[in-house]
Amino acid sequence: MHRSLHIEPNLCTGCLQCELACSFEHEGEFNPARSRIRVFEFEHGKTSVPYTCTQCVEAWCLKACPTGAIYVDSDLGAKLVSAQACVGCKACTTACPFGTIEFNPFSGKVDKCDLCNGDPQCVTACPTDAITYLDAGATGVGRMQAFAEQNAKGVSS
Amino acid sequence: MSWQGKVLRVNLTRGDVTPEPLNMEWANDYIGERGLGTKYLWENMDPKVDAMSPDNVLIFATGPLTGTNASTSGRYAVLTKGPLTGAIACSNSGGKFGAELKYAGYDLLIVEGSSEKPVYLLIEGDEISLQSAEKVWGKTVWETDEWIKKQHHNPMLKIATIGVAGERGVRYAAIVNDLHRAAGRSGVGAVMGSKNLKAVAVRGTCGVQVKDPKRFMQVTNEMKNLLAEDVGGLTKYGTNAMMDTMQEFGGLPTRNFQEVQFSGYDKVDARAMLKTDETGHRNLLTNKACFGCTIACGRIAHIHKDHFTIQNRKEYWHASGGLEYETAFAFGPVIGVDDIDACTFAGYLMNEHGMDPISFGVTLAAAMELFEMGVITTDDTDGVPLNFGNAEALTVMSEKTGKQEGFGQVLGLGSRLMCQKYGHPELSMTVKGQEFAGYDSRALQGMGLGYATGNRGACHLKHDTFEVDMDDQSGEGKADPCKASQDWTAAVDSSGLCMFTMGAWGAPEFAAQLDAGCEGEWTAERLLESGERIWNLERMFNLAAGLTCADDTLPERLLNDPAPSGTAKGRVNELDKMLPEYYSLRGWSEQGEPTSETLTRLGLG
Amino acid sequence: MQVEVRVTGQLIDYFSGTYVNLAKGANVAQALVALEIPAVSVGLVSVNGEAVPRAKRAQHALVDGDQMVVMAPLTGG
Repeated sequence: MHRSLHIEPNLCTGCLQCELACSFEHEGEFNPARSRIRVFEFEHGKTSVPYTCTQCVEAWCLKACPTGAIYVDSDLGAKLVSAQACVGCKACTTACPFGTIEFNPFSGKVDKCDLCNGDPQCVTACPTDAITYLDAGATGVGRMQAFAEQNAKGVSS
Repeated sequence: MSWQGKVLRVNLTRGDVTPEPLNMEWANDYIGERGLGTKYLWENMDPKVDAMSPDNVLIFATGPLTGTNASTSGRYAVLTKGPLTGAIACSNSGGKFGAELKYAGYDLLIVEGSSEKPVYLLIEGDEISLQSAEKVWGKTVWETDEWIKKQHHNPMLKIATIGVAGERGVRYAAIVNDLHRAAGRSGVGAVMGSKNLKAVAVRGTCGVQVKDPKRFMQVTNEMKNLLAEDVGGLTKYGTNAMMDTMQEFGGLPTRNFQEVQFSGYDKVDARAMLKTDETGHRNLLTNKACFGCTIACGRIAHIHKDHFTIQNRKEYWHASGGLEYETAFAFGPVIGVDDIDACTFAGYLMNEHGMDPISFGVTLAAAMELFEMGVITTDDTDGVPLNFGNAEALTVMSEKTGKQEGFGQVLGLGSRLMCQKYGHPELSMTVKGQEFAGYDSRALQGMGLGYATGNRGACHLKHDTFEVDMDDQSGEGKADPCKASQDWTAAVDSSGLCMFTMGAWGAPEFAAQLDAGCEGEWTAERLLESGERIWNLERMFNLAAGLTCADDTLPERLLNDPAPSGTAKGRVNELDKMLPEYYSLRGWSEQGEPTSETLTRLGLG
Repeated sequence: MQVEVRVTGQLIDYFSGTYVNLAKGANVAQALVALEIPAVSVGLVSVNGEAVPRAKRAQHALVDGDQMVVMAPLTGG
């Protein structure tokens, strides 16, 4: 089953454990600047929103890459970067409308979310389930259920 | 490993910045943050200097675990000589600033001297500079945060800044980071202002590494699970969950500590924050975490748009930091106010202008008592009647003090100087010049001992006798738990982690995390010993600054006027019985000075 | 017998009522069990405004009409 990361900002407290886990997994150290997932805060912290690559089916980054360094892991549905083939031209960073593929000045390559081989560390680290790893075809079910519950109670929000 | 091994020394007089290696010998003996900062302060300044002079040193200190994935790893401390107290100041804060300083590659930032013109320190990776602050001098904390990020096109900067209160030397001015977290007490913001340093803005891109990555991950995950089982009401209700407990217990300081219970408590407590009114408005919006924290005790709230405070002031219609216990106590019971929107607005102003809500509220309480006694009148107070319970007095004076206008300039002195000025020093509810937090010493005896002997003045966070104080309202057997918890808390405050984990984690749990992360062997015993060393070094600083055992005392009101109600009704604080036992347990003389034996044992002799 | 109950802080998540029915002569420790509030989660119990130390909970017998307050522990902050 294809899974994708599902983010529920209402549950996010802005703790940044996801950024810590991601950087640790990929770089071996705690360094949010190198995390592939980032949390953004709005209105003095009223809302915190983690954001990362949504693993587009027709990926801009993949199409923009002149060396074919970006490829698909068909099991995961993840778009991965081959460090060997990547020349650091950054065309992908321009192409991605979401900004979720980023140039790494230390390695000279680009980094992006790779779903951690099917065991996303941000999901494990999140203390509130603001990030979950769900059936890619049913990520909306949680919200539908919440609204259905409201209706069942006869209360509209 | 864990420590970055580097300190940044900034000399504002000369205008230069110099990285230097971290003294690892000191790190081994004092850990980091509070302990290490104290050692650096001790070695870098004369405790006798005036706190507002260029000779005072200001240190921002992270702990070895700051910036790791241990839960609550966002803590850092600001250390200096406090203008409010003339004693050592060690003010702890959360948010994101501390972790960012680690990612910039520094364990400590040491600021010396003072700048001729207002500046801010900018750290972007390895690019460090002192920038002119002329465009932001006079601006609020929130304006400054926004301006600096825009100016450098860097929304990732984390900024610790002062407001006008700090610029103008309000004795309890705070340093606010990430908009609504603060190094709040003892006037550390005023020291920053005296140095013409408006802000420190940091963006770091190097990582924090740990000694044994695999073990570290295992241990921190284990500890997170333990913590999740033991957060009490912190996540759901925040610290303000304590207000109704304090009310029922009878230790809730009311109307400048004249009483210990407040009938309006349920209008400003945690439950009130969760009530939805007829218009559909609810004070609390959500909870919020500091960096790395899986508890998330922070509150995000908003004020009712029709409330008199912000009715025509759209700029305050946004959400921001909500009431914590201390803010609620300082803007509620201690001044007799029961208007949650007024209290929340005053809280906003504290963050916006950079002030300590505890000291402000208790200072205002003293002013209200002076007013009700007729010692000061509306002629003195810009026409504002300072009666207990007057919510408008709270919000108007919060703003005046933040901007240093009118009577706000008197309030900005703190209650000790203000009450002296008006000839009633006994109305200042302080120890060593610092105002009490929301726990009355007649009801919580060990707390009273902790207040009296605390190295930074009246502080509720440097010891933990809550359990024994609740179970036994007498002063019996309080000296030992007070001393032991003071030492233990000093170690916790030096680790980079938050003391709100202390319910779930003891010394073994902290040691396990430090041992997996830091070079060297870290055991529970070593932590406790370090804590005792740190406590004694702080004491030595104060003795060198000129404080004596005469300063280890409580106001007359708490020693002589019995608690009028509650479970401790009829009691006064039994400091005279507890203090001698405390000194003896500490290995100090009857004059409260560490004996040479004690100093040698701790490696301080 | 009926004893009036108030709880403070997060203990509201355990018990949100206003009274508890107990067997005659029940003591404070037994009352906590009836309220389903774990003893370790309690900071202090007071009865009619008087504190009941932890060690005395099992000895302190309640009477009909007593007012019991079950307080959460204090944590600082």
